[in-house]
Amino acid sequence: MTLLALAFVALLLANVPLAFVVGISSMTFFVGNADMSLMVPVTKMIYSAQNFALLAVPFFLLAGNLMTECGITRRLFDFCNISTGHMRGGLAHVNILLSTLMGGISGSAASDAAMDCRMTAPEMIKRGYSKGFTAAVTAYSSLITATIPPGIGLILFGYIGSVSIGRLFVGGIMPGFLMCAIMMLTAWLISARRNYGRSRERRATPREFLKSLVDNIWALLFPVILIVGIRFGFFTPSEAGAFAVAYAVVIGKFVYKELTNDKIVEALRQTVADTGMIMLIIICSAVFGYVIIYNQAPQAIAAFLVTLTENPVALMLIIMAFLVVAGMFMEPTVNTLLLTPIFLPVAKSVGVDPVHFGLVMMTTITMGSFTPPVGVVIYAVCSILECPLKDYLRESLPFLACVLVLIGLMVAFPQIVLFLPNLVYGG
Amino acid sequence: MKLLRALDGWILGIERRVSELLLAAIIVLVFAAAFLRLIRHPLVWSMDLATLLFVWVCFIGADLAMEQNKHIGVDLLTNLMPPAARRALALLANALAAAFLALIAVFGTRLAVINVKDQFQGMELSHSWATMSAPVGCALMIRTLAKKSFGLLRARPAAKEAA
Repeated sequence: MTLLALAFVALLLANVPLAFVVGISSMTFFVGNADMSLMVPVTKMIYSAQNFALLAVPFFLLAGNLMTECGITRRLFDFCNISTGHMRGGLAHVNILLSTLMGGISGSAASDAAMDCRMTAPEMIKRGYSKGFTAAVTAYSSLITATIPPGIGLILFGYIGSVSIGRLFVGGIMPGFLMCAIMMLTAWLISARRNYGRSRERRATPREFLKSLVDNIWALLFPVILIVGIRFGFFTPSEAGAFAVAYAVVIGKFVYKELTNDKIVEALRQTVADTGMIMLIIICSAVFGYVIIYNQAPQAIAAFLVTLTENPVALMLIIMAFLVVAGMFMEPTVNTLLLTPIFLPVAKSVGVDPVHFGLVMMTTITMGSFTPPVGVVIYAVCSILECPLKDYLRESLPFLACVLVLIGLMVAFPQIVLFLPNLVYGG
Repeated sequence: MKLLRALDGWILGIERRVSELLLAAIIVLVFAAAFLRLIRHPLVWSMDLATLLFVWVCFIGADLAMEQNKHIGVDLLTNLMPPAARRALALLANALAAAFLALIAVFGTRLAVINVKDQFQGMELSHSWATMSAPVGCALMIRTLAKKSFGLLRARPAAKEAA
């Protein structure tokens, strides 16, 4: 295990791709043990990809890619502007609300942040919002996308931890909206102090609002159809992904008429590469999962943590503090795959509901893409917007505080997460 | 050299087309199967076939992602290094990754050979059809790593000239 940890850190610092960091360092465990065949880890790796539940990953990635290609994003942007543009700091609210609504279509924080960098952020900078503020809003609001169903992170958590993906999806709705509200409040306070303008001169009339609502009904209805379909057993989460793709193609081709065959092929190409990236991490993590279970690491860590406290709230806070630190250095997918098998059993052992734990854990882990020194979303956002890192860091503090407050609330009040799943699925 | 490059481009083209086609096929298959189940005509083999095609998409996709440098690492420390050291480290990393992939390829092939008689639960097809995606994908990735390493080596004299 020591060799594994050393190899892990060394490879990580040497800029080896994360999938190989995990795979190679896990292999050192077998190389040292002459009595263990290498056949076992390789079999684990190859079979880990052969899982029907994982099909949801490429499906939802593709559905998200297709919907951004077919004009839904631009329509949603107009809808957000009509809803919140008249408020102080209008475009900041549009940015946050757009991430929330896109959350019902796309499942990935990174792609949402990239989308917002092109849609909302340039307009914000043009209208005098500071670059740091723009970059911070764009990055942090994408966390909402990962929480609102569907979410790729939740699918992976459900796969690794054998937790109902349907319940996880429903559990993400309230935290997502709560986060949207807290962030909008923060953006409003900052905008009021700095005198950031509005993007509409007056509040939209009910008629304008209704017209825009109808225009966007297909996008807004989608997450509802998804949840209802999964809840009533019309489809499994993986099938729901295939349905999402079909839905996007039909809306794009026949309703909005903006989706060409070239765009479909382009979306497929992008999705194949993204899937390959995520799946290589999953494949390599399979060995790691095997090694830690072989070593009974979860039991050892649980035993240690329980000596500190047996209070579920305190225990969760300790775990989340660890995840914040892990998130600073590693990418969310890797953290999910490596740390779920360690911490979920610990949480369960003190009576924490797995759906509750999953949402808190995924929120904390996803936040890792926005925190320095290593953060995928930071680099994407700051390089596209040409925003100096230190401006981003300074202006992101209020939003970091928002997320930490939300995590605290979720830990202290499990009902924020569990109320809806228990209502929809029954306790 | 020219021939190698042409061959590489040809393989890459096939990888792209095959993986896109497979992904599209999986979606149609899963969607159709879900629909047929709803009208009470379930296809027992649909899940197995979808999974079989999916592992191929995964391994080919992993290579395409490598081609586009999508497998990210942590460049915190390496960014502080002089270019020569960074390049040496990158070459070493590529060699390690290639060795790891070769390991999977060798044992994966062995696994496919040993279990050739194992069939999927829902259809009469050897499980090795799925397992073989691993060695093939790993071989493709080793080729991409070799190509990238070669690019790194070649960039060196040019950099010296500039200096």
